[in-house]
Amino acid sequence: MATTTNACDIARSTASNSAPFEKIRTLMRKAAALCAFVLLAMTALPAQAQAQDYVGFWWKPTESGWGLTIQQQGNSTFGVWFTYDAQGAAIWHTLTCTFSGSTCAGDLYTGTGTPLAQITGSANLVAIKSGTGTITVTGTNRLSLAYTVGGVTQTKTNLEPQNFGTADQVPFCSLQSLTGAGARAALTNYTDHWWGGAAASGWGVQISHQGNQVFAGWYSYNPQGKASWLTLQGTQDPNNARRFTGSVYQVNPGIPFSTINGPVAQSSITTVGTFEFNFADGENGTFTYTLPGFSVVNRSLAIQRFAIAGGAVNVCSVSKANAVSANDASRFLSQATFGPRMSDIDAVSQSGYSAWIDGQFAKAQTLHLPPVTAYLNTLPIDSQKGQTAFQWSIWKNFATGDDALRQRVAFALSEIYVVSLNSNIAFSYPRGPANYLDMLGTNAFGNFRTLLENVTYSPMMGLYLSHLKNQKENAATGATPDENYAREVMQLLTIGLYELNQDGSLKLDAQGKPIDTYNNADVSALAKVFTGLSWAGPDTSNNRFGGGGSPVDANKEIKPMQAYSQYHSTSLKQFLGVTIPATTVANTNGEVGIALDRLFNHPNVGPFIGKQLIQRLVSSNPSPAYVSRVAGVFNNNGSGVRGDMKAVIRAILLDPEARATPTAGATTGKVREPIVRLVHWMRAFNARSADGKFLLGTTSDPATQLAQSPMYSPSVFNFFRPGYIPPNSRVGGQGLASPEMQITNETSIAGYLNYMRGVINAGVGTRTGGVNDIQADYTAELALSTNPGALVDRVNLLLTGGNLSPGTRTLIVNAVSTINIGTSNPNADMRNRVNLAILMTMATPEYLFQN
Amino acid sequence: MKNFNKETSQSRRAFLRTASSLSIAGTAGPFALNLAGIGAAAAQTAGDYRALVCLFMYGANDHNNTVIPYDPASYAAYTGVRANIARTMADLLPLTPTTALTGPNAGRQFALPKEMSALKTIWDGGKMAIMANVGPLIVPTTKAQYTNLSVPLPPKLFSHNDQQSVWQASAPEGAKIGWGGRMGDLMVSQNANSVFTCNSISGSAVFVSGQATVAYQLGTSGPTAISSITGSLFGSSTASGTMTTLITSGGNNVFTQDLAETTQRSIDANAKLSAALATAPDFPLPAELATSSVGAQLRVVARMIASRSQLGAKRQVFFVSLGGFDTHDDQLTTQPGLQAQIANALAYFYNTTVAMGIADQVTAFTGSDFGRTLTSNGDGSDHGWGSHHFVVGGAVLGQRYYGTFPVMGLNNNDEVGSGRLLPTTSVDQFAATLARWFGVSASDMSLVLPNIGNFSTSNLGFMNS
Repeated sequence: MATTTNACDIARSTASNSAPFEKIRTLMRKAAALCAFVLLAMTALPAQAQAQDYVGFWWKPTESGWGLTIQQQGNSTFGVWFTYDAQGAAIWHTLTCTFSGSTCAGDLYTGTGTPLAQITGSANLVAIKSGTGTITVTGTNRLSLAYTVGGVTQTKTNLEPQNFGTADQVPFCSLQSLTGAGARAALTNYTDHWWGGAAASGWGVQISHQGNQVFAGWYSYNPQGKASWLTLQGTQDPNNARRFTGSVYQVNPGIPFSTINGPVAQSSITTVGTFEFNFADGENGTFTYTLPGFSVVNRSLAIQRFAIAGGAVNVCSVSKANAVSANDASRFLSQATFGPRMSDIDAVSQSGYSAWIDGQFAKAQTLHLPPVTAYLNTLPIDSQKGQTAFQWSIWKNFATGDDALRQRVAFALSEIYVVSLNSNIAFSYPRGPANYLDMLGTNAFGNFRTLLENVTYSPMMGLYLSHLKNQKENAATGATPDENYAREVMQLLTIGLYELNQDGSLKLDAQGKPIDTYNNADVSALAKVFTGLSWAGPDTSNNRFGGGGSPVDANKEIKPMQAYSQYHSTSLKQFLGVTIPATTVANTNGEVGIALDRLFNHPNVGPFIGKQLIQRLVSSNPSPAYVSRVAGVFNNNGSGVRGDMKAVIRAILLDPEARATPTAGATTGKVREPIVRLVHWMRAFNARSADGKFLLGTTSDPATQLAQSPMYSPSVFNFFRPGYIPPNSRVGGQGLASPEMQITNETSIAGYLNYMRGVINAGVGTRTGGVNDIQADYTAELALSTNPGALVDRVNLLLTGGNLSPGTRTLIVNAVSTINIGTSNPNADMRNRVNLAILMTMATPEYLFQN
Repeated sequence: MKNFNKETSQSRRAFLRTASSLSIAGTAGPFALNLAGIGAAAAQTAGDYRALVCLFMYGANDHNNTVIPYDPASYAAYTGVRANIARTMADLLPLTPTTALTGPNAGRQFALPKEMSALKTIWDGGKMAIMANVGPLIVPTTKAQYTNLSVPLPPKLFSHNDQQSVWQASAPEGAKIGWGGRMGDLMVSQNANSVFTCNSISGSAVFVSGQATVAYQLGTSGPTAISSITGSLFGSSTASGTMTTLITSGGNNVFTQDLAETTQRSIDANAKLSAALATAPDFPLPAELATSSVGAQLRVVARMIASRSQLGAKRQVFFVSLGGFDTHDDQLTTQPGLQAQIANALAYFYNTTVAMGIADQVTAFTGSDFGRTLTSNGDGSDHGWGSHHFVVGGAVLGQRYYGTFPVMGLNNNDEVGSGRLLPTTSVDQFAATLARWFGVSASDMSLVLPNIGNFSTSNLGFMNS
């Protein structure tokens, strides 16, 4: 049986007997985190051409207790699979392979060697081929491990890198051409494969170094000389950055590898000793350990970083070009999405903001209409259909859409281009509103002129602002065109009430007064332009205009309105400096086009709409300079294009004012909307729907829910006004606006807290068999529940981007610690800790204000 | 005494200028004395109770189909312009005032739509007044002055959000102080719990925001307790205490501080109000209001008024609302149901105050964004200006019209196009009449309504006092 080469020079050590692994029942607070393979997040996007980097510890959160370490040098890969044999005893298998594309396949080896307690040099490994294994990259920060061992063939999917330190200290590793002795001596991150060197091989430690912590898998041999492993958890000496001390842990018994279907039992984790790493430099050190149960006291062995002779090496450091700290990534994602998932934080941390935005621009749109239509097709033909399926689809796409940026911007647009289901539309048009939100999502990455066109021609907007079926004036009856859309398309959808400078400030006349953008005559004239539009259909008969007609166009609610010349005004129209002469032939679409062009090209649109989008995503009170920069991009994307929404979104999110780290007391930011808070919870904790459709309806009741429900604003003026200044407030006292505070009051604050208490504890949505449809997956949090500090840190990262003050964090950590993890129902106790950490975080003003 | 009164008035102005009395340094001596004087004076006169209730019809109620011309000539003119959105004669309930209209309105008769029969009953009982053609004005304004822009006009006429704000606060969107809130500022010292001085059961509304008085916002189920600040929380007996600390701690910026302060107010108000309401009568809603939001809101108002002694309340302002009045479309389908709700809710509320024996001390009135065009746009009406409104209560000199009804029709001096009414009575005058009854002194009236001095009278006479 051939031993493996290069990295698998782990072998060859002397074996002897020692006392059986002794159980030490002292449970450290971090025991759960330890039994979980604490791993690193440092992958690169699989699609990139360069050598991939998957260095670190990988685990499956739902099966805490086993894991896979990967060390790489270019595509050359050395993995150690730490698991348990058929009897539940710890065993390791090595995997040496070379990445080709997204897979890395090779043989698995285990072996026998010198028992741990007797190793002083080589472990005299006798390697035994134990099977075959394949690592496959299945997504960003996701791997699978397939293996055939002892006749068992299985695939473990969704392995993910585990972060056990503060995430912004997770090292990034990259292939570098450092060759020759001492080339890595300057490194200060010790993540790597460390061994005794060629003359003392057969054992080693797979070290992961995050922040001031190290975690290592120590692969060696049990007293019977069989391959076995222990784990090490240590902390950096505050006075000596090269020294780490900590404890050694053993898991016994584990779960046989072929039957693992959950986490290892808490009671299997014991502390068996202490250890110390003393690094002389980035390449050499000593490993000292005391294992009373093994009769080993203060043994020191030299260790060195493993290298493929002459080859390039992977270098890990805590920073790399364009890298973003986890807290900054989380903060960015709170602006750009409904809130981060951990995988989103990883992705932004690695790719940087701009590349992430590019990736989002390229993603396919997650639509509402297809699932809504599919559901409607399952209903009896004459049933009351309503908006149920659309409500579900909204929550699902907001929470799980891969196109997170588009979903978030579409929601923002729905709060400017308001079509509310708090109207008769809800009852009669089960597909129109879904199609409308899809349209906003499509145009979120399109051009503003198209957005304006599609909004104007939408029959849902036509119903909501009543220009559908709008008729020309009638001199005989005195009837005049409906002015509703004409007024609001100016006041709310494009230019606003007053002439603006590019920075959003008011232009003033010679008397120092604001200048109206339009007067009532403009409204009346524009109202004539928006006459003669009604339902789409195969003809333009009077009946069809009025809502009848035969045959009925079954898709009229999702088609743009069409022109009916007989109802379009042909008289003179003068508005905003535009004159459309009287004609004899109605020119509905042509005149609408003229009007929309006039509005689109009005200099107000950039600052007026740009500022509102900033307010929806980033800050209630952007500086004039920020508004001006965004408006400038609206006016010209750099290639001479006006209204490029992608460029506007990029400008909003990458603006220095958006990206600057908030300082104490700074007021850049916004109160998070209640809807966004709920979806944030769904995303941060990977909420899943048992049904698959996210069976949740409206959440409008301020006393018991969220005082807000997507697409259900009280009027075209949205849930809140962009210029709302809370009365009698410190915010108002500083002359600041806070739109979201318009729905923040004594009742809605209590309603939100009570609602979230229930949601966090028991999920949300339609209750079936006593279980709510939408449930969080708290696996990762539960794994940290024995370590309240780490638990709160994770929640803090996910929810606030690390924004909790030290005092607030301490209060929450201490409160979580008051929940005793007993023996009668430890799982419930751990769940209570997770619940409390999340509820308290989401209750703090420091969370509610997103800065 | 004359001098003292003058000083008092000045001190009140100063008080109102200095929000929350944050800083009156430099003039602290005399002002502090005078503030003490106000409190003493208030205590002496605070033996009674009064409540004002604003029912706001969001979206702009079509007044033309609410107080409807009934005499043959006016009705013909009305149907002539309104065509297909006019109410038919058969749907009308004619009103008989105690005194026939005179002057320019001589011979005019009006009716309510049949859906508002509950209000007709109150009118017939003498407890409802109708205010004709009231709307925002800065100064009395003629059509010529409007056309020539020769007098200042209210800002942003015909714009919903702005005119809602102008109606409630004499300034467009962004206003921070409404006239209900300013009255609260003046009266708050009479109340044992300042938090219940100005109340909204309809979310944020500038009407009930004062300079120093914060509107308490509660829902139709009454105050809401925060469940996680008492008892055991997720298995911890002490976490609820930490929760209280967390949610009421202000953090390092004005946003977090305001959020914490509102939370603290929520906790405090809930504790007091829950206890008080526990013994208040239920005042169940009648069947016709079973699903009515505004009915449920007024029920909360009634129950709070019933708890006035426990709350130590002497002067209270309430805000309730109903939306959906923006009838550009389907007006004849939509508006009647809303009108029925308004009428039934006001009647329920008035009758409840009668049952409590406190009808003379509670006055409800309607407001709205603006009136609507007289012309039809096909099946609805568009944004207007002046409108007609109701005042209901035991202290109302009712079964009478106040103000002046416009000429019915187009192209006259009472309208500014498409039948948009040029108001002949300002909201300030309407408000001042209510404020006077509420207890605002003549000398303080301009603090509540800055433009009231521009009008010849601040008392339209519809309130007993």
